[in-house]
Amino acid sequence: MSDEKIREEAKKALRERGLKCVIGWSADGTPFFAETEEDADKLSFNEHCANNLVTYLTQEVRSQRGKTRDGKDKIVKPVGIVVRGCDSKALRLLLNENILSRSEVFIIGVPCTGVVDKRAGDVLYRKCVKCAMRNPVVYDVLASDQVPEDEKDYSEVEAIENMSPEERWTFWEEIFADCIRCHACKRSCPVCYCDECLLDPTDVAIRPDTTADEKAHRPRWVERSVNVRENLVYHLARMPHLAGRCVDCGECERVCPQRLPLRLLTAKLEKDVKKIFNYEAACEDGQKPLIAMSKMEDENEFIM
Amino acid sequence: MSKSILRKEKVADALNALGHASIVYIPIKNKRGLVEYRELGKEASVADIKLDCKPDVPPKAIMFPQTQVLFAFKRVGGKIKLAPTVPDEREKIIFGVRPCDTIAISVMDKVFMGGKFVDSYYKVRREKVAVFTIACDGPADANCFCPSTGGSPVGTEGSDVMLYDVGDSYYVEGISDRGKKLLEGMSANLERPSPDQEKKRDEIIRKAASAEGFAKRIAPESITKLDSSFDSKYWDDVARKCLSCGACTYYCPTCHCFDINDEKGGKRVRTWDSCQFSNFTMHTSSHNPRTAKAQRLRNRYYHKFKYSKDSTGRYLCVGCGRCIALCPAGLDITKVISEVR
Amino acid sequence: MSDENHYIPHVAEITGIMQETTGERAVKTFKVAFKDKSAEIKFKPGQTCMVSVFGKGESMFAISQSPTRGSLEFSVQRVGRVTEMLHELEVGDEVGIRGPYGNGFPVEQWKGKNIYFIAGGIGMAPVRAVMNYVVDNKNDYGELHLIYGARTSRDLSFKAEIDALEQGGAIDVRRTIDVEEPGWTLLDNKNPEQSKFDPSSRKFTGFVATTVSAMKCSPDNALAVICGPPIMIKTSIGSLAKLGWKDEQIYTTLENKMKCGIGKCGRCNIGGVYVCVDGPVFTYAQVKKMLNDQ
Repeated sequence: MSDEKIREEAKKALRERGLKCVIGWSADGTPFFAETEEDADKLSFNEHCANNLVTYLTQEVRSQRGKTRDGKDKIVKPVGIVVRGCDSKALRLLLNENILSRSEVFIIGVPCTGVVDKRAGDVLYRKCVKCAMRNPVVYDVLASDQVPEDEKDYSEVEAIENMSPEERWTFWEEIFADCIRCHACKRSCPVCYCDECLLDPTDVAIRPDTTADEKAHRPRWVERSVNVRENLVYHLARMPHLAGRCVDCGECERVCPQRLPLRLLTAKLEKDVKKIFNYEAACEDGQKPLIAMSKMEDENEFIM
Repeated sequence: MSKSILRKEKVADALNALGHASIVYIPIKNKRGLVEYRELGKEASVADIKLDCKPDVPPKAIMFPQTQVLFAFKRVGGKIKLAPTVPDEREKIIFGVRPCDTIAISVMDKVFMGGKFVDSYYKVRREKVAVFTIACDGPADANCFCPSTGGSPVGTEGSDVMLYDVGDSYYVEGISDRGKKLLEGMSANLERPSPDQEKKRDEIIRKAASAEGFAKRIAPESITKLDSSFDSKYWDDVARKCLSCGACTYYCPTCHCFDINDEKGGKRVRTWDSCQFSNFTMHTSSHNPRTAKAQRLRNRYYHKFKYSKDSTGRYLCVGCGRCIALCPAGLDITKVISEVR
Repeated sequence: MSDENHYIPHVAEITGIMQETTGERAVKTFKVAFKDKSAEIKFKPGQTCMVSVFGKGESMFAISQSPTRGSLEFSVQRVGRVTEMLHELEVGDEVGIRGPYGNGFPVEQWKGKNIYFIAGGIGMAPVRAVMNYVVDNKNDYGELHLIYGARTSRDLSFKAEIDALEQGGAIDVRRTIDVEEPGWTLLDNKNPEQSKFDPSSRKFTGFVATTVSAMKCSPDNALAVICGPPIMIKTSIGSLAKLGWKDEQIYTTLENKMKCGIGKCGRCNIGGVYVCVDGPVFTYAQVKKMLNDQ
């Protein structure tokens, strides 16, 4: 049983590694922060455990950072986390981008055969039906045996690629018209860790020393009005920022209260990045970011 | 004919009759499987009506649109000219509203039309709206908790017309004068209720009054505990899971926070805003009275269960449970309040 | 009144601009007149208005002149999106005004009292409105004092006006600055009570709170109006408390981010109180209660 193994490893790590907490799921599938060995007995992994918890990992580590009164770096207690395959890829990306360091995290991996969508009537999430990220790629311990992987399935993306431009426009227009810009996609995204987001007019970092000129002349890329045009800018401008970074974990699609098929965007992004740059996000430890790997022979017809 | 019977096969005719004088909104299942209110004839057809569940999206936006242009402005020869938005004067009927959402409209009326100032944009829209409420025969789904917030599955407050599902028909009752008048207009499709139908309707009301079957509940003493829990560390624990998105607030039938901005093309626009967004209360100077997630989350719960109760005498939560269904982090308002310490 | 559209501002023309201070965070006072005379407003000192710079947005400002002076004025520091643009405007340019909002100072209740006006930085804007009101009705009030501080002498606004009041004997004025300058009597911020206070000196180097302590402001038949940055308000209240002042004798104005000004948009609340409609003027006793019960 992976639950026993998760609990045992969490307790051991809390005890021996001085973890701040272990982020996992409780049996009802909701996120759970185990601070003590007693808490760790509530950790579980089952088909209802749908959240990608890596967003919380960044929060828990970052909240400890900073300087002490005498100017020294504060001590960061390592944070434990339970990750599935998809989550572990997002975590690897954060490690590769130096957002987290390996010594700050303790990783319990759980191979996964899919989680279910309560709102859709307890059927597997679409992303889980065929999944090429079932096994954790970075971990300290594994809580159960590895499971077979599927081939990555791009058939839904291909169906859209095969549409005529007019059909495609109508298809996306209908989707973007339904977005209410609650920002759940962005707020839950494990690799959207910026303090300030250019696509969110509500999220502008102002410090005490920010000048009036800076505030006055900061462009508003997206208006607060919610309509097809502004929504489209929000989603489409978000994508290049995720190119070579998004691991297609599907958290954005899972959390979308409007049930927009946002993975059609992220899977397309992943597919194109593979095709154009022969690059796959977080496919190995220590991998350089895509944006740092520009080559002369890169395709550039989209610019020129 | 304030009490009558509308046979289910006649709903289409009745709605079409109502549609002559009013815009009618009905709940339908959209392409993505969400049940929401859409305009009959334009965005929805009667065949798609979905009256057997609580809609995923409350009808809030009909009175309080997510994006609303307050006025346009332009410079003509160096002088400012303002052009106020022409109000939507059309009569509207929202058909098939659940009692929680109907009460929510009354709550919103207090917010926008009560107090020292009346919000004219809300008032103009609201006064055109008649509400046909469909009673629930118990909790509509696993997240319902209306009895905990002073509501009821058969609550009539705010309704113009009440409908009760009595099997092959709806038992229809005019509540307000306006509702009674609207029923007169559709009298061709109404019949006199049979004693059996009367009995079934009474049965629904009796069953609902017992408030049985609700899996979720907030005890009144938990709400009282808020009086002494403001500084509790508990809020930090709860906030840890929160992602600061706006899902709970945007789907809440009573959340009404908004923003006003000047947008391109010379428009001053009011849009929904969320008290959970990090910069919601940030001053121009960068000072922010609610910097921490815990402060923002706590403010929302206190606003719902304390501030509003203290100032208007009622909760700003109607127990619809949508925030529970939609929270990406699995936060459950009934648990949060029940476990306050 | 009830069906009035509160969100549409009235267009007003800037009829006068006074450069109060200079620098990155300069302060200018704008005198405005409504294009449509029927839009003219009646206001009380301490009330606020939403001022629009069309295309940039609107912000809430305290009206900085007393209704007894016959003009509508706003004294605005250049800090953000709207104020940056406002500072670019010239006489003849148009802005939007809606209001007045808020409760204003209870000047009727204050009759017969000695009043200490205590202001720091841009906090002088609402204080100027109520101070001028009281000065213009001087017979109704007792002794009047102004303690006004800024970072440097160049950051003090309304110089000529305050000098004139002082010279006319309407009010006792003490100016304070944070950074020492020649000719400004040095007070000891660390031991305010021990600071030697020379009653003939009008200019001090020291915090406002230090000056309050050194002056030994008397709570007898008195009230204080304190406006300024939060830290200045806090320390000045501390100084008054040590001199025996009660919380009910101290008035202050609060500010928070506002969008509607009419108690709807949900962002300026402190607990159950909306600063826009229930404030911005509160006694310190009320503020304390708000912070406790929120």
